[in-house]
Amino acid sequence: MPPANLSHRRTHNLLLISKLLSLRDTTSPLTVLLDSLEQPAAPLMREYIRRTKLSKIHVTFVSFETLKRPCGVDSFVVARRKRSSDVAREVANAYSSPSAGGPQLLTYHRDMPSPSGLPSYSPSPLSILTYLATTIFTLHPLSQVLVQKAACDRSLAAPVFGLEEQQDGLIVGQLEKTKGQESVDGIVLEMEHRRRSGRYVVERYILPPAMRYSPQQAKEVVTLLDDHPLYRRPEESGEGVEDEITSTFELRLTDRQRREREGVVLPYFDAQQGNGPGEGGRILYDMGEEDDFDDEEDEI
Amino acid sequence: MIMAPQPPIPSTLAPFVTSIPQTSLTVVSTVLGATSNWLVLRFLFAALNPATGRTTDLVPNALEDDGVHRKVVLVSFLRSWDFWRSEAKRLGLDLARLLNEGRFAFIDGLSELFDLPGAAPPPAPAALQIARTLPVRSPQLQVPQIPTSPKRSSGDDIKRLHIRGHGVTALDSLQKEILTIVENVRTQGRTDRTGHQKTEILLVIDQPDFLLAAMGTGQGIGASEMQDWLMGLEQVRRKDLRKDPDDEREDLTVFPEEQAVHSTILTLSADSPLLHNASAWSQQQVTPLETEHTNFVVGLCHRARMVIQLRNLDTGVARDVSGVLRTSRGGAWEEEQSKDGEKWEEKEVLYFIQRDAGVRVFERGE
Repeated sequence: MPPANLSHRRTHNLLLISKLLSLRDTTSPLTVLLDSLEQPAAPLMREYIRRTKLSKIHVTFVSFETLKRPCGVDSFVVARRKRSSDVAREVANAYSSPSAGGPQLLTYHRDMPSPSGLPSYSPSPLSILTYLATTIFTLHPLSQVLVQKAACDRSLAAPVFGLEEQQDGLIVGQLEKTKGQESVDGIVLEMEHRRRSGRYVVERYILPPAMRYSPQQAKEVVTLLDDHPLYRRPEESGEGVEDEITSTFELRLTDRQRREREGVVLPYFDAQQGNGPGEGGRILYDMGEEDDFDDEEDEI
Repeated sequence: MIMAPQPPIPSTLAPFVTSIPQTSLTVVSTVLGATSNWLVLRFLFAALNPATGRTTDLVPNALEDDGVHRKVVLVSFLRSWDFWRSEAKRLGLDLARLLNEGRFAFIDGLSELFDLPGAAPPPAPAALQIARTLPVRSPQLQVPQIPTSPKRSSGDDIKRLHIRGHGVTALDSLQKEILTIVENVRTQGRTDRTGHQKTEILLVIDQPDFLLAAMGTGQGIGASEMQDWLMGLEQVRRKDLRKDPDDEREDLTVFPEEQAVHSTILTLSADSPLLHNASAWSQQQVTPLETEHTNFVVGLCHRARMVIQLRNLDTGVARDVSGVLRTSRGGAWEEEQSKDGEKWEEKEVLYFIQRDAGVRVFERGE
């Protein structure tokens, strides 16, 4: 995918994430959240629930992991030791209308190896999920993304955290809470959204911690990662100034000048619309008055 | 080296050890060189000794100012009753007395786990009478069982777990045994005291990963079965217990509509081969045990509110440092909790266990 320009991405992708997070318009029927111990998906789940509450959507929470009902959930199904058909029935019962089938949100811990008892020829659960998903969010903590970026900027190997460190006794990495004066809380969402047309959109966003905005806020809180003050490159901020060179000469073009300049047919233009490569190295040359054509030169 | 005696719970550790919120799961991960016994004892001390964290004088009174009656059930799979009792005594905690008072219960998952019930108890080794300080991981150290001993003698009140059957049924029977003890402990407090006090039971399970390693997927116990089992221990009022045979239903009527235990603390091994060989970033051939253990530990950390990681000093062995303690947020951490408990933050400290079993906790370079 070509690097689209930032303002274009800002308009389109922020609209997209807003739609995705509020589960509107059947934008994404199956969203998979890939989390890890470094950045659990619970804050993002709470953000999803908060938004569905604002738009008054029924939320059914199917839990494999917790017995505690999350705040704001309409119906809560514990799937512990149940057959999948039983769970499906309970979920269906949770809805009042029989034709239920809203968008689905699913969390997968990407730092857990796939279980050992699987048949060796079938794909891993993660492969199946990422194949079926229409949107995949991979979650990272902002502090670690910043540290990794700082290393990449200096052409160093990006550091790894937690289980990836492969150090004896380490399960969860340590989070750096502040950088300078600014706190670096927040979740980086690495999104891959597959459109119905088959095209895909890749973008990185940042979700600020829930303390920074009110639960009733309807305005979008997610921003692009590239817009984050700590992530943005310092030289990019000077880009706008560069356009305005102060000089005594008028360097810019008027509209008329620009139109005329676009109308000029360049000499090699003719060669580009030739009939394929067969024409080869023909030289286009018009004799001028002062040219002295030498017959004998051809004979050599 | 003589050091000043330390308070039972170092002030740095107090916020992690004392204020454990309701329905929370705390995971303590250990490695071979940095065991969690001392930390488990601090958890016991904090729960059973009400004066912790507030004043320094030890008031032998179970009642706090908030009227909460705190009790502890300790399920130990790797260490015996004598070990815990003698270690707690060094800390000033008389577990045997608390056991008689009904404020503490010990469940021995080590001595007779694989014995058939009803079989004759194994003869106590003669050397055991002399050995009081016990090695940590020796399986021969059973609680002495003298048939003629009076009712209240050491080890007689101890519930011992037995594995019956395979897979989920074996775990279900264990669950039932443990929950019966939990309910016994709860009701004992009710008869002793006025009755309408709030009782909080802290369930401490020491190294349940032993069960996973000893049974394994061959016997139908894998990481997900173990996690379901632990979930079942945390709460009984779930409907799925009612699906089981009728005798379970009778138990359920005893249980009120409340959680079986207030909060749970688990200690788990996190040694490198058990954790990293099978992790998603490793490319090598793995054994089923490595995969299951990684799944079990990482899955529990995802469910935990707090993960306390103990490990060896990265730079090698030091005479005055026993290990490194790092507290991290688990997957079930909630932002709301951090608002009232502003003191709680992720940190990494060093600790040193002194000769008198006191623990000094300090920052690097302190």
